Formats: sequence, C-alpha cells, structure tokens
Amino acid sequence: MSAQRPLECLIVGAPGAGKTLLALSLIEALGYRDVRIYHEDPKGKVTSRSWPIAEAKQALVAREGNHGTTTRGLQWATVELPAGFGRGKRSLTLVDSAGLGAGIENDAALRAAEAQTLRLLRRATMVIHLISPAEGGPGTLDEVLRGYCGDLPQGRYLQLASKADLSHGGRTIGQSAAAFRDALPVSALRRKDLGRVLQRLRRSLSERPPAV
Amino acid sequence: MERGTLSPIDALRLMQRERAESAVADKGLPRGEGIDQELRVRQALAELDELIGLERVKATVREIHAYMRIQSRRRAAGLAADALVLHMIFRGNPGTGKTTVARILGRLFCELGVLSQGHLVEVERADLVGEYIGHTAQKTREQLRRAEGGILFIDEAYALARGGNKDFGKEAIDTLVKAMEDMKDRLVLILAGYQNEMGRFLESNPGLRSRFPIHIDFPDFDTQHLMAIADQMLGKREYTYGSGARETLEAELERRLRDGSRNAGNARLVRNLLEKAIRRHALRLADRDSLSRDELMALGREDFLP
Repeated sequence: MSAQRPLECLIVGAPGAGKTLLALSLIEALGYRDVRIYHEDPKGKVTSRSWPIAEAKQALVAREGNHGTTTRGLQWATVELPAGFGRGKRSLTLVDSAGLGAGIENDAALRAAEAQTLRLLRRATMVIHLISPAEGGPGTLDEVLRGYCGDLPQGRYLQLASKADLSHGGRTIGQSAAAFRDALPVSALRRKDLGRVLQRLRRSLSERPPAV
Repeated sequence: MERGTLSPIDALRLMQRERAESAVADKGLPRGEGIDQELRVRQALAELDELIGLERVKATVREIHAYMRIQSRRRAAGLAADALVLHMIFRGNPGTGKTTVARILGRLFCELGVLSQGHLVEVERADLVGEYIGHTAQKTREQLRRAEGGILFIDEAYALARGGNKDFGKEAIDTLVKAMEDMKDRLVLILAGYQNEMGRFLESNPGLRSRFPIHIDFPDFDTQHLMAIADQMLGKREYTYGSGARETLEAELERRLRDGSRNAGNARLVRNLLEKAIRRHALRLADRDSLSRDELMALGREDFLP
C-alpha cells in the first residue's frame, strides 16, 4: 500500500445533473487527453477501457431526451492532481455514480445502480454533490443528500450547482434555495469554473484527512 | 431498495438514522474507511477478467478473494478465522498465463492489505542453488528477502529436486519451507512448472504438498482462444489483418496444435508469430515511397505463411 492514501471523490446527484460530463471535464482540465475509465455494472462486473476524453464525452454523457447514455453503474478514473507549489502530486480517484431518482425507479437495473451508489456513499470520504437546475431547483433528494453528507469534515463535502452556463433568470437555480446558497455554480463548459473546483479539491488535499 | 419498495430518498433517510444510532452507541464513525481501496481491488480483478480464457483460474481467484473477505469479516465479528495461507502451486506449460496471473495476484493481495508491497520476484533454480555448502541457504535467503512483502515466484520449481538428496536443491527446499512458516504473513510463495514434472515433484515431497493449500492448473489455449489473444495483441499494437491474413494465422496455429508440441497452446507462440509477421510486413514495405495509413497497419496473408 502506498504511504500516502490516495484521495477519492464520489460525485452524486439526481439523474441528468451532469455528473459524467463534470468528471470528464475535470480530468480534461488537468491536462489529460486520454483516460482509462473503469466501469462496474450493478452486478459487480468490472471492465476498463482507455479512450480519448472527447470520445468518452460523446459516448457516455447523457443528453436531453437520450436515456441510452444514462450512467448505469459506477465509473471511475484515477488521475494525478498537483498538490500545490512544491508539494508534488497525489493521485485522485474520481468516482462517477448513477443518478439518484426522486421516486422508486421502474427499471430494476437502474434501481440496482442506485443502490450501488448509496453503498459507496456510506463509505465515501469526500463527496461532490451536483445539484441539477432542472425542474425548479433542488428537490427533496438534494435536501436529504445534504443532510446525509453534512457530517463530512470541512472541505470534504462540496456542493456544486451544475449547468451554470444556462441562464435561469440571472442566477443558477441551485442558488435559488436558501439551503444551497453556498453551492458553487459551475459549468463544465467553462474552464474557470473547473479550475475553481480543482482548487477546492487541492485545498482539501492539504487539509488533515479525517480521522479514521 | 433494489426490490423497488424504497426510493433513494427514503433509503438515504434510513441510512442517516442508522448512522446516528450507531454514532450514539459507540461514538464511532461507520463512515470513512474510504472507497479507494475497494475500487483498486476491483481494478485488479478487472485486469484478470480481461485476460482471455483462463476461466478456471479466474473462478479460483474469485474464490480466494471471497474467502479472504469473509475471513476478515468473521474476524471483525469476533468469530474464529483461519490464518490466511496463500502459498500456491501453478501447473501448466510455458506461456499459459502463470506469471501474468501471479503479478495480478500480487496487486490484489496488496490492495486487500495481505501483502505490504505486492511485487513479484521471479526466480529459478540457478537463483536459489549455490555451488558449495552454505552457499545455497545464503542465496535462497537473499531471494526471500527481496520478495518480502510480495510474491516469490519459482519457475520450473521441480528442478530443485533434480539430482536427488545430495544435491544442494534439497537445501533450497528446506530453506523455503522454513521461510514459509517464519514469513507467512509477509510472503506468498508460488511454485510453478509443467504439469507432469510438478506432479512428480510434489509426490516425492509430501511435506511440501500439504503446505500449499491452493493449486491452480493453467490449461493450454485452444485455437479460438489463441486467435482472441492474437486479435488483442494486434489491436494494442495498432495493426490489422489484411485480406486472408487472419485465416492464414489460424491455419498455422491449428497446424502447430495438431503437431502437439509443448509450446503449441500458448500465448508466447502467438506473440512470436505476430512479431515475425510484423517484421516481414516491414521488410515488404521498406522500399516503397508512399504508404497509406491502411497499408502501414495491415499485415498481409503472405506475412503469416510459415
């Protein structure tokens, strides 16, 4: 085992919040062109594939009205994150999870994928909660997720309001609810937003890891 | 939840309550052991799954993995748990995946926390057996020291018994047996070799046999598996088959399998045939001035002819 524990970060949120696109864009913003992505289906079968990020985005990111690319299962990739001036690099495993729906999912495979996400959430040491701007802002699911992740140490729970490039009356919908006022608005299309997220990740690297 | 009686929202609420209760009970944090280690274990298993064929081997490794997980959970629950003895015997012809699997096992055991390094030290008789009295124990101990925290993989291990009782090979075996006890938490020993020779070797050393709880057989690959290996190798090296090329390779592999030579059913033969074809392809095109991308990639039928 390596002397320094690698950092891991689980990305959670409602379906279609933009988790996969965010994960791939963060990796791209770190300067990667290709990435090896591991995928685990809810039955536990793991496969991996190396591909150009641009191609992965095409294939894996859900688009409006296209449920064929809804993430079913877990996807993760390990990348090197510069830890800050003179402090070298640390590996960061970004874990992209299947979205959590508001109600009971009809599709058994998607239900299994949701359960898989929750199993991991129980053990995660760092969580990015992506709040979708769709349908009038954060829903009950987001509230409950916030409650569950609230006891993570400072800096280990990050709320992001996704799709900040879309205009919703001047502010992102994530910010429209008081409880999520601190959510960082991001757009995976804007480099400076991604830089800000990476900055937060870096900062949490330099903080003392939670006592285990 | 998977049965469709609980929504994610209700499940999360339940999880939160459950955690609050256990936090009151033992002030502990049920969270925080992290997911990275678990993911790395899965990566090692995925690497194994991506190997072609070897279904029995994969099944055995999954059994070992499941056994290790249950043992550690039994320990956590205060139940009697067996000490993990993971020394193994690998039987099979060269090129059937023994070293590759050993290397993946090293990583897996490291991620599971059984071995501190998980590296593989590959040795054979000449690395262990010395030339004068006392030399052998010294050489063997040196290799054991290198392998500490990882796997010591002894290829053609039956050769240690060559030369009978007066041979220094006996001394190497004795040193290994002692180390298997002394270093059992820090070292996994794998003895590998041809099926028949390993069988005889273990029969003549019954004490040795009982110390290796895990025996894995590596069968020869059949033509279909060999072709799948060839496809994978070509893909990785960014070559393709030209017209009739794949069929020619297949025919050649079948011919070799029929001849029944010991090296026929193995991945190394495929590698050698492909490398020969790649060199011939290069020679064939070396003097051409203009070459398309396709021509640079496609191995021809003639490149695979014997």
